[in-house]
Amino acid sequence: MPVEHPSDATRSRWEHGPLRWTTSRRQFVLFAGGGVAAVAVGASGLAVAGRTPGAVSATTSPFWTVRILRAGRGARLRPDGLPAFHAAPGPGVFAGPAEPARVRTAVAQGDDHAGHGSTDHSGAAIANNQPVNRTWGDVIVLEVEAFNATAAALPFSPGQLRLRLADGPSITPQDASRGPGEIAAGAVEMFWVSYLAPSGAANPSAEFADTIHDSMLAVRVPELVAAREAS
Amino acid sequence: MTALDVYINEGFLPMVDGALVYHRGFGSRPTGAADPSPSLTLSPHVFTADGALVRSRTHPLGAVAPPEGRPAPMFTDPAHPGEYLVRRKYWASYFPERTLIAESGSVISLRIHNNLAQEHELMFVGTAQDGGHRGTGKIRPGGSAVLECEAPAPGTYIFCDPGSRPDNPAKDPVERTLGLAGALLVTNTADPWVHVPGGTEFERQWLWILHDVDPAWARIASRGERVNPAQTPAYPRYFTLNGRSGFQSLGISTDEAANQVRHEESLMSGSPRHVDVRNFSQGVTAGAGRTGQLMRFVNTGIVHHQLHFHGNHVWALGRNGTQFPRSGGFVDSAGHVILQQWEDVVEMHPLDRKDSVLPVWRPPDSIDPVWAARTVDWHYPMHCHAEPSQVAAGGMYPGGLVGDWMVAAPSRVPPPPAAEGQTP
Repeated sequence: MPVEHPSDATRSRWEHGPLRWTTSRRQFVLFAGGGVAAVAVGASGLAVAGRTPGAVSATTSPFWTVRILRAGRGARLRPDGLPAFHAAPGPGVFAGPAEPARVRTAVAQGDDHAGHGSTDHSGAAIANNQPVNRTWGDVIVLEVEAFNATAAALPFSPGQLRLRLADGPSITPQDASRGPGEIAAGAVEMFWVSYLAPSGAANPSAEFADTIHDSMLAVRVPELVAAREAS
Repeated sequence: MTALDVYINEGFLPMVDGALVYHRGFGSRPTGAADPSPSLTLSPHVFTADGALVRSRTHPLGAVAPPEGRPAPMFTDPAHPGEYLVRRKYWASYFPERTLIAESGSVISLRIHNNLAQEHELMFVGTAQDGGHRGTGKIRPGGSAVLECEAPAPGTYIFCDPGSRPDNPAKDPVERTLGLAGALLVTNTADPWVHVPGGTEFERQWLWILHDVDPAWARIASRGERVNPAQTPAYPRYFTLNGRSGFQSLGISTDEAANQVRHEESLMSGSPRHVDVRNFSQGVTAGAGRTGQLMRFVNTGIVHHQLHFHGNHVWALGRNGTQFPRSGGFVDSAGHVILQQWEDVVEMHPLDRKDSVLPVWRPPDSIDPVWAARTVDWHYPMHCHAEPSQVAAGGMYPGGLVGDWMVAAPSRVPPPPAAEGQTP
C-alpha cells in the first residue's frame, strides 16, 4: 500500500525551515540564487534555513519520490592549486556568490583539463584552478530529497543516485552526507551527494537506480549555482 | 551435537561505490529480498573437537586476541637490532564473515533452510576422502536439509551452491558468484599454531576470501530468472577481499568500527622478525622465537586473481590441500611450480585455496639509515595484478581487490632475560 507523499505541513517545514535531521559529520554551506538558501550539515544534523523559490520537479514511482532541491558547482581546487575543500576531495565547506555557476572552458590548449587558465561562456577569464594531472576539476553537489512511498522500510544508498553528463557517462558519487541504510516506510530523508565533474560539462542530469524494483528513474537537476569554500 | 542453522537468503548490498546490488547468501536468520539489513553471511562459528558449537571470531578458543589484530612482540632480538622475538603459540587469530571453523576431529553439523524460490544446495567442495564433495543435495524452496560430516583434513575448503554441476562445481559458478559461497577452515587440533600436521608454525593466521560481483548476473537473478553464462558472459564489476573493496577493504573509510574489523581480520601486521625460511619454528627463549604469519587465500569468485605483495615476498606452502615439497620440486601439467619458494605474486584460480607465509621481514630494500630512523608503522600494499580488478563499476580506482600489510613501529619491549649482555 503506497504511503501519501509528505504532508503539506511537512513540506512547509522543509521550505521554511529550520529542519534538522541526522546525517554525517561533514558539512557544506551553499548559497543559491538570491542568497536566501543555506544548508549546513553540522556534527549533529543538518539545518535548512530558507529555500530558493522556484519549481523543483519530482520523479515519482510507486515506491520512491526523488527530487533534487538544489545543485551547486564549485572548483575542486583554489586558484593557488590547493584543494578547495577541507575534506579532500569531499565537499567540506561550500559557500559562494548568489549567481548561476559558470561553465569553464579552457583556452590555453583547447582542453578543459589543460590547467592553463580558462574562460566562462562570456569569454571572461576566471581563475587558473584546473588540476595539472588532468583529473576532473569541479565538484557538483546535489541536495536531494527521497521519499519512501511504500509501507515497508527499504534499503537505500546514496550511490543509487548517479550524475549523468550530457551525452556522457554517469558518475559515481565521491561523497554523501549519509551512508547506506534503510529509509523507513513513509519517511522522507534529505541529504546531499557530491560528484567530481569535468569543468566543461554543462546541463548534467541525474538518474536514480531503484535496483530493488528493477527500474531507473530520471531526475532533473536544477540550475547549478556557484559554490566555493566558505571562509 | 548442536547444528548450526543456515538460511539461504537474498537481498541487496551496497557496493564500494554506493550502488545496491542483488546478492544471495548463506545467512544466520531468515530475511526477505527487500529487507534493509539482509542476512547474507554467516558469522564465524567453531565446531570444536569435543563436540561444541561456539560462535567466535577468533581461534584458538581461549587464546589471547591481538589488539587491533596485531600481535605484540615479546622481546627485542639481540642478534638483529630493530627486530623482535615474537610469542610462540600464544595469539588467537581473527576470521572474517563467511568463515566456518572446524577443529580436526570435530563433526560439522548444519541445518540449512532454503528461503528462496528456487532449489539450492550447500556443498563442501573436495572434502570427501576420495576428493569428492559433501553436500545437502537440492533443497526445495521453503525446505530444509541437515548436513553432518566429519571435519576433513586440516586446511581450507570452499563451501558453495554448485548450481547445475554438483559433480563439478567449477563448471557452474553462477550461484556462488551471486554470493552462495564461503570458506571452511579445518584447524590442526593437536597443534593449532602449525598449519597442518608436520607443517609450518605461525604467529597468527589470516584468511582472505576473494570474490567478484557481476551486477548483470545479479539483475537477472533478482527477477527470479536463470543466469545463462553462454547468453550473458561473466563481466564482474566489483572485486572484494573479505567482502570489501577499495578504501573499505583498506580500513580507511569513515566507518571506524568497520575499519577496526578490517585491521583485526584482514590487514596483516606485526613486528619485524628475522625469520629463516628453513625453520619457521626457531625457538630462542621459552615462549619466544622467530616465525612468520600464515596467510590462507581462498578464491570463491570467477576471476583468476594475482595477489601481489609489496615490501616482502611470501613463502608458498601449498595449494588445494597439497603441501609443496622443500626439495625435488617439479612443474605440473598445468605449468605450475610445485615447490616451496618465494613468490611476489600468488596466482589464485577460481576455487583455489593456497597457503603462504608472510615473513614480516625488515623490507629488504630499506637501507640502514632509513631502517634505524623509522618511528611509525610502515604500510605496504597488496593489489591484484589482474588489473581490471583494481576498479569498481568499471572505473573507480582503486576501488577493487586491494589490501595492505604493515611492519609495526618499534615497540618498547625488553631483551630476552637469557640474552642480557650476550647474543643468544
